[in-house]
Amino acid sequence: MKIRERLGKELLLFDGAMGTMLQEQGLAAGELPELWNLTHPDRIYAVHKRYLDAGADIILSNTFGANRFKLREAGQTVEAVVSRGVSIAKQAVADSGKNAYVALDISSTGKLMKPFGDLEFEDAYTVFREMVDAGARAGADLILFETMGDTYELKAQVLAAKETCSLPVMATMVFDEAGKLLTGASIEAAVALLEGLGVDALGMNCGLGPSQMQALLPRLLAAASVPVIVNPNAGLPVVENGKTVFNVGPEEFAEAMADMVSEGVSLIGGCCGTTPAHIAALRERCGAMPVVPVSDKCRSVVSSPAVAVEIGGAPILIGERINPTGKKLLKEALRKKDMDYLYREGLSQAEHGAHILDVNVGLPEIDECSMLVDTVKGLQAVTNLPLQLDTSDPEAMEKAMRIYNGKPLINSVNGKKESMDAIFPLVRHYGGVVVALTLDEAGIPETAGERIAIAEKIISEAARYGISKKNILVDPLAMTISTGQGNAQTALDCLDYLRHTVGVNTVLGVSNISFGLPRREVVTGAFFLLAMERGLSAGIINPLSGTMMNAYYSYCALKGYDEHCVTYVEQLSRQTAGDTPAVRPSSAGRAEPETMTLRQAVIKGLKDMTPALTKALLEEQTPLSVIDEILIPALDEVGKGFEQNTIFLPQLLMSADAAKNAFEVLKQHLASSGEASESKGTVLLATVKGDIHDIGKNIVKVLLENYGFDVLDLGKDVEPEAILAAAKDSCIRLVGLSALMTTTVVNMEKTIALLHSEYPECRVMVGGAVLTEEYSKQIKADFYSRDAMGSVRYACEIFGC
Amino acid sequence: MTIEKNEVLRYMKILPERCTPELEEQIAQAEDELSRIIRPRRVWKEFPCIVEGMRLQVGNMQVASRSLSSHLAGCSRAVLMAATLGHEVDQLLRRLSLTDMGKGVVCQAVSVAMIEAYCDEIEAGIKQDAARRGYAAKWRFSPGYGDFAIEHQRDFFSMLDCQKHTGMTLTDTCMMNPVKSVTAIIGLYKKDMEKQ
Repeated sequence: MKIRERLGKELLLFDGAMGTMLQEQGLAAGELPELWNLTHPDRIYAVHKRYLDAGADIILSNTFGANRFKLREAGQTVEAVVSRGVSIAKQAVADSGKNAYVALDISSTGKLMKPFGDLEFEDAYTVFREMVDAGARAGADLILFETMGDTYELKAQVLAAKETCSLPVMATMVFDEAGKLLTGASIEAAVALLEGLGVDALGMNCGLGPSQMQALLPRLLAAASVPVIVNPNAGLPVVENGKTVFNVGPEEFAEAMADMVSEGVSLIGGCCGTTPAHIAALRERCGAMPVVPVSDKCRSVVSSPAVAVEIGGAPILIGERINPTGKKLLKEALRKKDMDYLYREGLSQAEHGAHILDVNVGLPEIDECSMLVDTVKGLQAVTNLPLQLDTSDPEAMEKAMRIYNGKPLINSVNGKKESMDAIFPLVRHYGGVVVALTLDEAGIPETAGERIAIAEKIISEAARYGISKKNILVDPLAMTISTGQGNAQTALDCLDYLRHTVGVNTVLGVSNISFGLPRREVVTGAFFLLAMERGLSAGIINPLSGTMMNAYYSYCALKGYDEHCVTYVEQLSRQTAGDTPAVRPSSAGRAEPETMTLRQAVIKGLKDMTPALTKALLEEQTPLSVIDEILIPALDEVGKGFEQNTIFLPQLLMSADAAKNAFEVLKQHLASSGEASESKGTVLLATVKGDIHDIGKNIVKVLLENYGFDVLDLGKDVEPEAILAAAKDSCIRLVGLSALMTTTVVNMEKTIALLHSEYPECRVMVGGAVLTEEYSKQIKADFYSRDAMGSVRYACEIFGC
Repeated sequence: MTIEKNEVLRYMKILPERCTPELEEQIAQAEDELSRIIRPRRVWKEFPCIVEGMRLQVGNMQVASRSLSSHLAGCSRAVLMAATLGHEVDQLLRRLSLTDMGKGVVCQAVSVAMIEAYCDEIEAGIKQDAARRGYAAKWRFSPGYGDFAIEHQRDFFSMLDCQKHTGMTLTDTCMMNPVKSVTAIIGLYKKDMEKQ
């Protein structure tokens, strides 16, 4: 019988440790166990055989780390090692005469993916695809990704498996005692991602013993709608005489596992320290136990690399601000590829209480596909909030869904056939919760009844793709009441029916209701309250609006979502009066005497005070005079203090941030009056190839921007050719390079040589912990900056200001 | 783990006597915030160690390094260790680079002091364990010190199975992720050798 037919219907036993058994036979630390498939196939066969004899139903091929990175040094091919590993296991199954299965066993590449590490998502995908391909051709019955600590790598793995073969796919992960992966994902976040991708079973292995896993099990079972696997170590490791040992014996192990089977686990086995005796004890103790049937938990969940957000309880807030519609500064940032501006928009919404961030970067004159992908990657590096991918371009949507780390919210599908044909296959393949707009070929219907009919049509079409209602969020469309008196009522009636009768979650772009009216927030806030009361599951709103957030906090307090009104009290007690949005006061935001001037605020680094002070000054002064007479002299004073050692780096940077906030206000003022802010010139900054330390570069960037320079920041680990191309492309006159390690200064030298030969009119300044004046001359840099101010001075010299 | 304020100041190149009350408060706040997000993980294993001239062998790792050989002279065992504060610290530092660079610089310095303090704790445990068996220990020595080539990070990672136990990974250029991570070797020698 095929394994898929037995999954979740009867208890299936995995085998125990392979590594532990091989170490006993002389495998050295650091030696690749997979090479023994070629050198000692008899020993590998014997281990498999012992586990089969002990009663295992599924044995793991000895291919855990048989990827091209690890095999490269050994001079072996993936094909040879993986297919041999699978054949040895298959031979053992055949010789045992049992109805047992071979799992193609695959773990991590050992490398971390970008944006944190240096491995591209698609490269990781290729590495796994190569292993899956070899294993499937050699006759594996299923694929098990195990001992995984990174959801992003899991995504590459499952996609590689699903896009290569049709074998069942299972995944087990290493959680710590708090229920987190080493890279930070919670149990719920990991389950959301894996179920979205369509795995056949999932669970935990390694890292913990049975009792620690049992403590995490209720959370895992509550989240999972597929069969659950538990493969613990034989207890927590104990170091005795310089050696690591595991102390939970077979009987104790089997007893704990029996408890977990009765709680709902249907696949069990062992990891480090477990032996054939442990598996024999499992067979003896649990072999006849029935399994608890697996049920669909019907939870609407989206996830990030760290957390899961469940829709359907207290209303969820989706931050709307990363969307260029009607936002001049954001449009400008998109055109200039000023990604930091977008990331800051995301971070400030997170700080103000958003649960999910909408990401829409569509502008006619930019390449939306690559911009969306870059924005998603960049935002995921700095915030833990799940994202709502918002684009009408199916190609951009697919690319973004593919590289998104987690299970995204997808905005959107609608009742048009063309839309459903394009979007549903993506949702099925990559996973996600999809926003369904109640419009179709005939446009947006007038009545609630017609909109509900479209919603029902979308839901039934989704079901044909295997997408259930829990993964749909219907948007019945809020139209402005300034053009139709009944518009609010129609939307509210839809919400009520959809949520309470159809039983599907709902979402609205709440602020649309007030388009064309004065003081929109007032009516938007009131509508938001009504909508939540009638059944709104998630609102797309501006979290920086005090009115909206106050409506939300009030609603949660009134409806019992905010226990003891803790959040309400916390948020509202921060506000002095009426409408001030509630931001947590930062260290620098302590109450200061009211006589504080902008100059003093910059010098003291009080970044929360400078925007208000700047706005006040703009009533009497021009932006230019604020810059020339106040900001620049204040920055100069701080800069000189730093150079004379009376002011330290943290203070210098706090002043820079305070000035930056003032500049933002001035920019906004200029933009609204149609003027462009002036730039002194553009400096390209990058940390060189091979180096992943970027704090020095980031410090320089903050200061340069303060002094009125635009910065084109290429990030870290940047190829010399990429730096040259970008410099030429943007006619850059000054490039700043940073390197922190002696081993990467070589790449700095290469980059300088390339720039000097191919683009001689460009100057190169360098900095970084290991550099000295002399060293910088050796590698032919034009300037060595011993500290951050040095680079500002040099830039002023180059651009003549 | 307890960190030394003066260490933090040293990482920011500030003399202790120049520290202001504001800076002191920022350091305390950074320490508080970091303490809440760090997830320290470690792994260590002991191996036989043979030192011959400027070459040495620790388990399966072969090293040619004058500075490490002279540091480990007389050692018959050696412990390889790896430790990290976890990925959350890296994310915080990236976030602060965008929103509050001043605080970012302070957090950066405090997190360096923290990983060092954490390594001190681990080292103390290793020394205790060794002492019970009649061994004394040298101070920890990391790849990249002296002429101990940074490429040996690869040996540390495979011999300790760092990724599985700590979530640490290496780039092609042997840089560690999370950034606030340390690997080191600690030589052990029989206590009766101490007098020689």
